[in-house]
Amino acid sequence: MLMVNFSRSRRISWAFSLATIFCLMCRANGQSSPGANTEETMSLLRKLADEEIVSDDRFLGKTRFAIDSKANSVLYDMTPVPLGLVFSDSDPLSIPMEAMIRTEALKRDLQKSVPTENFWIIPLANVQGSIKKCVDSLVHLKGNSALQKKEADCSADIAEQIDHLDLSIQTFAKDRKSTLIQRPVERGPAVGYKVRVSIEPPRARVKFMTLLEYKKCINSHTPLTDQWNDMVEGDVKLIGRYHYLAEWPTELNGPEEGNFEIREPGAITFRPNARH
Amino acid sequence: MAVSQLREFGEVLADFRQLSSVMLKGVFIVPMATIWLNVAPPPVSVTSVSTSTLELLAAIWVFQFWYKTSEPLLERRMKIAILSFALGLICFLFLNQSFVVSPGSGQGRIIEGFNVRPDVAAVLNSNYRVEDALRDSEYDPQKVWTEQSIAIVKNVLLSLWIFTFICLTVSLTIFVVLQKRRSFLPAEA
Repeated sequence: MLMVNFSRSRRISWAFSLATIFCLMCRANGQSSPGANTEETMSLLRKLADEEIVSDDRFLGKTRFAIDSKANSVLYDMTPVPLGLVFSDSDPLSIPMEAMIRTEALKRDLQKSVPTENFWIIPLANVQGSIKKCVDSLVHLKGNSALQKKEADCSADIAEQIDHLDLSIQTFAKDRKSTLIQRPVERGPAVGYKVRVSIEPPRARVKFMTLLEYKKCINSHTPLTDQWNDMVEGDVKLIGRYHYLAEWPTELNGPEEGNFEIREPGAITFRPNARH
Repeated sequence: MAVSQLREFGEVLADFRQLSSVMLKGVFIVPMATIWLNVAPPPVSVTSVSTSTLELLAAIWVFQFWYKTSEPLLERRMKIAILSFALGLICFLFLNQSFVVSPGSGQGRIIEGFNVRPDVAAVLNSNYRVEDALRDSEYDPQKVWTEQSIAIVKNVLLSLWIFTFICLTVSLTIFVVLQKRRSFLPAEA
């Protein structure tokens, strides 16, 4: 079932909600008008993404591409946003929704910064194509047995096309002899080590905070709710010790809490009851 | 008069045969080399460029204003400069050891403060020390110490670093001036 986070629901029109529910009901009933359903869902996802980008220019709608002529540098940011911010993170459409927010923000900035260049047009269209393919497959999926596999395929396809777009931006910067700056993660003076994060099962929610923050909250009896950051799959920069809370589905023994430390670049996988 | 001093200064910079001239040029280059060695107080590149510029100004100062100063006075100033250099270096190394930490390979060095934030002080104990708190805050000193104390340590370290190198430049420049003067004296019969 499609869930919209309550705190953000004011931004979503009633019309959109009803239309989305209609689409998903169609999916659940296996009705045959596949093209129409996909198009409608895509159009609604795009509308919602645009709404989120416009209403929140510091987080979901943050600048993802900019050219600094004085410094001769190209700044870009391809990092994903956490899945559960618009839809519930257990909703299958949260994956295309996240990709849609990213691509719409990128499209906005590319159109503004390099309107006459065409290096980004095809790669961006391919990302949108992979999102559409993903929506199409999710909308017409019957039963939940193949859902997880389909979602994993969706994520992989979208990630691959985003990598191509990333590469085209890098080539563009190289051709114009500009310094390429990947927008740094907002953090302390230490740059941190590049760590590849994997979460299994993929849609399980893992939240984390610095261990010092956790100790301070516990000591001062402050609720932890506002302190968590969502752990995003992919490459992130981390250093030091952290406290995490993995919200596994109930059938996988429910939530798990603990600490982990990053001392060097590498990979970290969050799995129920064990972390490697 | 000034043209003569400028010429002297130019000759020293152009001279690669005299050991003292080479050493003086080396002193200008050393702070720049610290960019690669990563030993100057952070931000390393800014510190290194500023230090080299101030060293050059110090050398110009000595040539411009102390070139005609009597030899005993110059020798006294040179002694003071050498002692100040030694003292500055010791103080810098001590503070560097006490307040600068490296989070790990490939990471920039962090300058600590001396006054722990009250919210952090509340969680510290014999098993959980301030070094642990720094590691547990992504090595962000501002989450552990007060901003004021970090700024004081930063400025003291930076001032000591620049002071030490200026003292070295001044002593070496005076040495070069004295050597040049002596080379102009007629040989003893």
